[in-house]
Formats: sequence, C-alpha cells, structure tokens
Amino acid sequence: MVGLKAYLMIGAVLFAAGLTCILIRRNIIHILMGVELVLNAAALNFVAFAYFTPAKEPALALSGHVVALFVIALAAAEAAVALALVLAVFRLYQTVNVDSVRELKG
Amino acid sequence: MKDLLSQVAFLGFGGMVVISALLVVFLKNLLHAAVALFFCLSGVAALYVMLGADFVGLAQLMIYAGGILVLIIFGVFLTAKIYTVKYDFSGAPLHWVPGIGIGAALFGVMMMVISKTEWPLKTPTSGPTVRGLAELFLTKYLLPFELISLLLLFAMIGAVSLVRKELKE
Repeated sequence: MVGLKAYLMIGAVLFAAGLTCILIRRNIIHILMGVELVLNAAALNFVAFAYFTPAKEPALALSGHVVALFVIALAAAEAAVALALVLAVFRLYQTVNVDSVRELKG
Repeated sequence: MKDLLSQVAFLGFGGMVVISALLVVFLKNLLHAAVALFFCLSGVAALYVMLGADFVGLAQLMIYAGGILVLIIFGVFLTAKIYTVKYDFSGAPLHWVPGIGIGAALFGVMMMVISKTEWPLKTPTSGPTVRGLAELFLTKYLLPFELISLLLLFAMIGAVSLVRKELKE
C-alpha cells in the first residue's frame, strides 16, 4: 500500500528541485519554471494530507483540495504577471539574463 | 492485485514526476526544460487522481499544463533572439556547486523529517469530490473564493498594463 510518506517524499524532491532551479539558473523564464515546481510540491503535499490524515470535522475533509485549487489559481495569476514583467524587461534591456539587469545595484 | 496495480501506477507516475523535475533543473535548452515541465505537471495531475482528488487533478491538467505552461512557452519564444539560439546564461558548472549543495541539504533535511515523524493516519476513502468542494467553497471558504476572483482581475489588469505599448501622438 502506498503510504503518506511516499507522496511527501515526491513533494520533497519537487521542492528541492525547484529551489535548485531558482538558485542556479540565470534565465528569468527558467527561474519561473523553478517557482512552478515549488508551488506544485506544496499543493501535492496538501492533497496528500487531505487523503491520509483525519480532519478536525468530517465536513472539512476536503480542505486540502480547496487549498490546492487556490494554489493553482494563484500560480496562474503569478505566471501571467511574471511573464508580463519578463516581456517589459526584454523590451528595455534586450536580454533575459538576470545578471544584466542591475541598474538598481550599488 | 489492486494493491500491486496501485503500486505500479504510483511508481510509474512518481518516477515520471521526479525524473522530469530533475530534467527541468539540469537541461540547458530552455524549450526542452519546458517540455520536461509539461511531463512533470501531467504526472502530478495523475498523482492527484490517485489521491482521490479528481477535480483538482483535472484542474491541474487544464490550468497548469494547458494554460500556464503554454504561457511559459510563449514567453520563451517572445524573448528569444532569433539570430543566436543561446538561452542558457548560467555559466560554468562550477558556479552551480553552492546552489546544488543548498538544494541537496534542504532535501536531506526534509527526507529526515518525513521519515521520522509519526503522522496521524486514517483509512483513506475516495469518491467524487465536486459536491464536497462546492459546499466548502460556498460556506467555509467563501471569502477566499471571492478574493481570488478579485486577485485574478487585478492580475489581468496588471499584466496588460505592463506590456501595453504607449500610443505615440
């Protein structure tokens, strides 16, 4: 029987992979893909807990699903705004390398 | 037999999620990484269905894999210089050592926490979730539900205003 720990471990892999992607990549869109991985890890954890863990009241048993749906909607809004920002930056700097966007530094 | 089938399905989809997540991190070509992200998101949708979350799984497929990923691929195409196909600016692999070290350390800590904690468990039941989700959204989580529609409106307005070109008179 596949238990709770197996799903949590997949969530841990997704989270660590997303964090590593955010840390080592210099292309803005690649960093955005890492952020999506992190959000998926969190939502997967919520749904796994909703399936395997008892809720305080039986009516609240699907709260994990509700949070996962909110996470998906928030990720959609955040991806739209982030890509709009990427387009604005590309129009101004002609590059999407985060190391070149340093006018505020110093 | 059903137990074996669920274990095989978990290994298959879980393996797809893990392998494609690692490919997203380490592939140099940005489009290849986007395709790997597509497989990762679809595998997570399959895992949702295996956890009894039928509605969330379908929403993940439609919105994440079918909306957000397409938006990301649009971004990749719109910000690529046509004459040089260079997407990867991350530099020598030596620069990756601190980042990979931090990711691996965090992963180790999380694995230790997951395996050592005594999680309170119940016998899992599954069934159609749409009615239960509708009841929760309209009674207990009504305020966040309304607020997120406001948030989506603001995100739309913000995104359009960020990329709008000013009319030159």
